[in-house]
Amino acid sequence: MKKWMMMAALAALTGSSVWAQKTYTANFPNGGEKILSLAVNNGDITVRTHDQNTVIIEINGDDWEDPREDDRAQGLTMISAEGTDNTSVGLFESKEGNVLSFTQLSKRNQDFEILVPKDASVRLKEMGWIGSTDFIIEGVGGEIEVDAKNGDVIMKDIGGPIVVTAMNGDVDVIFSEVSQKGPMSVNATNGAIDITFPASSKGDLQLRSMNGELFTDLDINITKKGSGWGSSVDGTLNGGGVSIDLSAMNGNIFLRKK
Amino acid sequence: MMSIEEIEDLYITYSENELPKDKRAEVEQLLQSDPMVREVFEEMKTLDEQMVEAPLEMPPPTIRKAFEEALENEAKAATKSKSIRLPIWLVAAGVSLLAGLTLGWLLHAQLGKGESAELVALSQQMEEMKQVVMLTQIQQHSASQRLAAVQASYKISEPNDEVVQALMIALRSDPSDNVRMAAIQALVNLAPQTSVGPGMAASLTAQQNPIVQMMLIEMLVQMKEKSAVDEFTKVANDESMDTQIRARAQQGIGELL
Amino acid sequence: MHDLSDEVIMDRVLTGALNELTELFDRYQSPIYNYLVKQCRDRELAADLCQSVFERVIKYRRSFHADRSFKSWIYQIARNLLKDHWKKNQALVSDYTDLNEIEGKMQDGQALAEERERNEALYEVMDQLSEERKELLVLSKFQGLKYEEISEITGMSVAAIKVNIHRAVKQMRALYFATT
Repeated sequence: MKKWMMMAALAALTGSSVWAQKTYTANFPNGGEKILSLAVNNGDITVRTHDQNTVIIEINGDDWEDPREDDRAQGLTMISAEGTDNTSVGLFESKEGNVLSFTQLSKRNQDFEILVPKDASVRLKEMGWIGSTDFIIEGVGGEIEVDAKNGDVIMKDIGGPIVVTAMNGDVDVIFSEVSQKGPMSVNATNGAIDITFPASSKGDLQLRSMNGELFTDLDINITKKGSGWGSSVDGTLNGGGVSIDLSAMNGNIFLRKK
Repeated sequence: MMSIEEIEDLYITYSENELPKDKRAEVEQLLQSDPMVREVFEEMKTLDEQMVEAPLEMPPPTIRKAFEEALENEAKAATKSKSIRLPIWLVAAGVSLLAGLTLGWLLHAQLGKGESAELVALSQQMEEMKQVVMLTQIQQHSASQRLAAVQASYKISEPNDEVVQALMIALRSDPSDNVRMAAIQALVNLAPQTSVGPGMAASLTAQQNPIVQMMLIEMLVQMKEKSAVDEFTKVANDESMDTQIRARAQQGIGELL
Repeated sequence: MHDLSDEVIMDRVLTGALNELTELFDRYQSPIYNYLVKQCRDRELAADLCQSVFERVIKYRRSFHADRSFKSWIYQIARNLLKDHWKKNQALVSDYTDLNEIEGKMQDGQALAEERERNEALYEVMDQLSEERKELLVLSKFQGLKYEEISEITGMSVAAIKVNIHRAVKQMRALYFATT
């Protein structure tokens, strides 16, 4: 706690004034896969990688928006239906199996900048409809799951598998390679899906857009057309491979060649 | 003077025993005194009797023959699918139902040792246990692994109850909408061989995401699942739901009726 | 077995005693066949459809829910099959009448022939009703189902069924006694 207060003071001194920053470091449960799970109410999430085995979470929030800045809260612990503040940074931390989980307890806007090991998997979720959480994920080597309500989902330099649900936002993904480890699926209810694959990627594509259209410059070998769901196409990329389902209800689907 | 229409109505209430005693007496009185009432009553009665007593026709023997044949084939198929189909699904699928079953049996053995617990309660407990285990399995596997499990059922040619049940659980309760959508697709694939429509229709109200609701509605319409009409009506009348979905449900009712 | 309810038998069928479906077949083959005959007035078609009804009962037995009535369920299956058939084959008229007359003349004595004739007149009058009212009459009068059972089968409210059946009976009276 002292650490983030000091950093807040530092931020004030250096002129960025109203922003308070807190940092929390955590370890994965011993051995095995490394899976980080984070569920938030409000605020953007950025996940990048570092060369260590730890998880570092940096939390930025407006001073006056941070309930922890309230003097009356001094010496007390924040609780919510999701859990209690056992990290002193407003997050509830728990470990189960290979999963290290965090839940944001506050409903105020806090941004999360996270560093994870290169081979970690992440499971990120926007819990409700109060905020608009954008998800920015770069270089993560493991599986990526995102459940977004209002925000956009942006991924760069990843291999997947990815499983993404976006209700109101867009999904933009640039693959550096397409992992053949497991099936992938992206669905966007109101937003668009825009995905860039390396030209040599292998996959079995299933593309559906109820009310939107499909656009691509990839060489998709179309095997089946139309199954009653608006524009819909099944096809293979470079002879086929892992199953990749992309479904949009109201938005378009764009597939690009890198 | 009563109109014919009034007399007819009177007959209907009279014949359906819906009149109080004193009214009945009144009617009987009327029957004596009014020839018009008598005539209409007689005609109505004749008509009623002719319909109710219309002779039954004998069904041709071909129906029984076909039934017995179909039953025999089904019995053969049922034993076959039990021994062969489940393991394929289990091996292929990441979600291990067998674990659930084994646990259920262990529990069964444990409880059965001392007292002779009622079998019904036990099998129910096993069922619940299986579901709990299924759900725990869901938590421990990644969404991609769960997708793989669901998609593995695409390869099953003859589905059995366990597969259908697992897919129904996925459709209703998987935390990932992506997995739910894959489950819809898997169930649609099984639809020609087994009845999945009513279960799919019933899961409509368990869905939060309009894209999942939309896909369910589309598929139920394509399957011509008439039992979905009730659920569609609920959706169409539910003001808390997405307007696009409500409109589609309304349209779907028309397509199914 | 003979005093078990349909639903109890279904429960046994679903827990492994597949053969007990035979008991349900015995109970329902005649009502369902007669329902179909009256609805489509074509014996050959009714036999085909009746066969399909029981094939579906076997195949889709698991879609039967224990809290519902088996009777309504099987009638629903028959009704759906019939509607599907009609949707596919727009022509609703059949040669039932001719078939009936020939058979009647060849096989029956005087009294039976008269009864057949009477019934024939009845069916002809019924054919002038709307499909919906005709169906309700068949279910309620000929098949002897209760309003609540018809409601479960057709999805109509009991009140609406009542009103429609009453109107149908009145309409029938006017037509039937005007023609004789």
